[in-house]
Amino acid sequence: MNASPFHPSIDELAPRILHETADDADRAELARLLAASPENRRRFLDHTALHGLLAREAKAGFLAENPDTFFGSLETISVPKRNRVFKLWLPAAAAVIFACFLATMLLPANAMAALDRVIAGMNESRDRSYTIKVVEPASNPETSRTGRGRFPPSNHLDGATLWLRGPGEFVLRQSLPNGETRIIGGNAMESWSLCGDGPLRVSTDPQRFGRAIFAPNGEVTFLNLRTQLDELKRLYQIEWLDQKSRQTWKLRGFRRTHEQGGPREIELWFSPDTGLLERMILRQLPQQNGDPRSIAIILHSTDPLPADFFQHTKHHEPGQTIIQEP
Amino acid sequence: METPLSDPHLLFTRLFVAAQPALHGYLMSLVHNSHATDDLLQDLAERMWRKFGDYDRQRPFVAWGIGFARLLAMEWRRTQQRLPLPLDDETLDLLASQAADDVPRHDDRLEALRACLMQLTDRQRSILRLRYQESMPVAKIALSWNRSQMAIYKTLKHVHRSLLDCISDALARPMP
Repeated sequence: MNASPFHPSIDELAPRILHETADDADRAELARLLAASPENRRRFLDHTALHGLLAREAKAGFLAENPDTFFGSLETISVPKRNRVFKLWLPAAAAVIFACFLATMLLPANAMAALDRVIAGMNESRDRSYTIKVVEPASNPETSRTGRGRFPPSNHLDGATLWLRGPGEFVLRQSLPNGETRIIGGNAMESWSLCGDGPLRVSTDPQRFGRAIFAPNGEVTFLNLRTQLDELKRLYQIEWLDQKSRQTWKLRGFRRTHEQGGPREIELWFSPDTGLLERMILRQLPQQNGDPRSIAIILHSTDPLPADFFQHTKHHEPGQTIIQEP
Repeated sequence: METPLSDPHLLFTRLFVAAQPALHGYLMSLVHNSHATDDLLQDLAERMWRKFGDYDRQRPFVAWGIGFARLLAMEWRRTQQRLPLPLDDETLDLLASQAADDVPRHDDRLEALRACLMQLTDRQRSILRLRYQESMPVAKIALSWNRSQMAIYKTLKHVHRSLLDCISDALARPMP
């Protein structure tokens, strides 16, 4: 669309960004080129304009399988002659069309767009408290795990409480069968674990103590709900379950393949106004070591938490023995 | 009885429908993601409708909308943990200004694109249909066509270039 000289890499990098195949190096290089010259920015804008036009034209049917039929059908639509009755109905019909038009504009375009909204809500730094419920216990419960050891036993999660704030900030409190309480948490810079009256274990790895819940390779670490939701976009087929309620909308995701881990089905309930995640149900979880088949993570409060709630010092007495781990 | 031009609902609908493609293009130039652009367009309609009472009818509606669109796009970028294309404020401002300058050419580009689409091969149209009409990710197209992601990406890149060249030629030709 423009003949001015531009860096040839723009034609390589712009489609990668727009078709979501770029890596961090591509992004950095394109950002550098866009800062470097107006010609580069012009060419990049040509690409974004084309991308936007193609997206809109596709939705309008201009890329339909048989364009001749499509355009032909448009041309054969007869235009009724205006008459008095039509004129009387015009304002009323237009008002209805306007109402539908606005209603359509205010709804997310599709389920994936709604999921983006939930993710955006999750990215807000806002205090949230969730209760974890085991919906369907393990078919063959494994009873030998007592809750001791570095990682929390997933088969005792029923009734646990999960607190979240900004990225990487979480606290999970579990009651174990031996009467002890296990608390694990993180503040984005380090994670920590405290069981009963044992020592406090601290790691500079922000996810070390939450990583093993339900999936040793980390796919279902619901402690990091943001990552979990991002993974949903990539690994699950998303569809609407309910978008009629005024209070709560629901999405459902089905795992696309059997190759990756994680639950086979995920259900999300969220506020249509704020994107706030109100409930997340994980069904048909991978079965190992007596883990439950299905669990639900249910929002029970958005009350503000103390500023230092995600520091381990908030959860133990001064002078606590600390073991530093990798 | 109110006429379409005196009824604010009808007037807004008429103006917004006409301006929507250009505003969509402007948002896309700052957001770089189709789903986010669609969502922001909805937010834009809502915000412009709320402020429609302040709209000066002597001013072009698209130019009025661009102010809102720019604000919305910047707000969206601030709330994203991971942006499709991170840019510093200065570059983003320059990009936004150049994108605003492009808006008046939007209709000409659209007309040229429609003609250029007719020149694509069946295979090129098919890949565009899957990517844009079906919103299918490159990886999924590759899987369904039994090709590598790189092969699909290269085809898309080639189609982009062909269409850009075709549109550029069409816009450079004198009007008949």
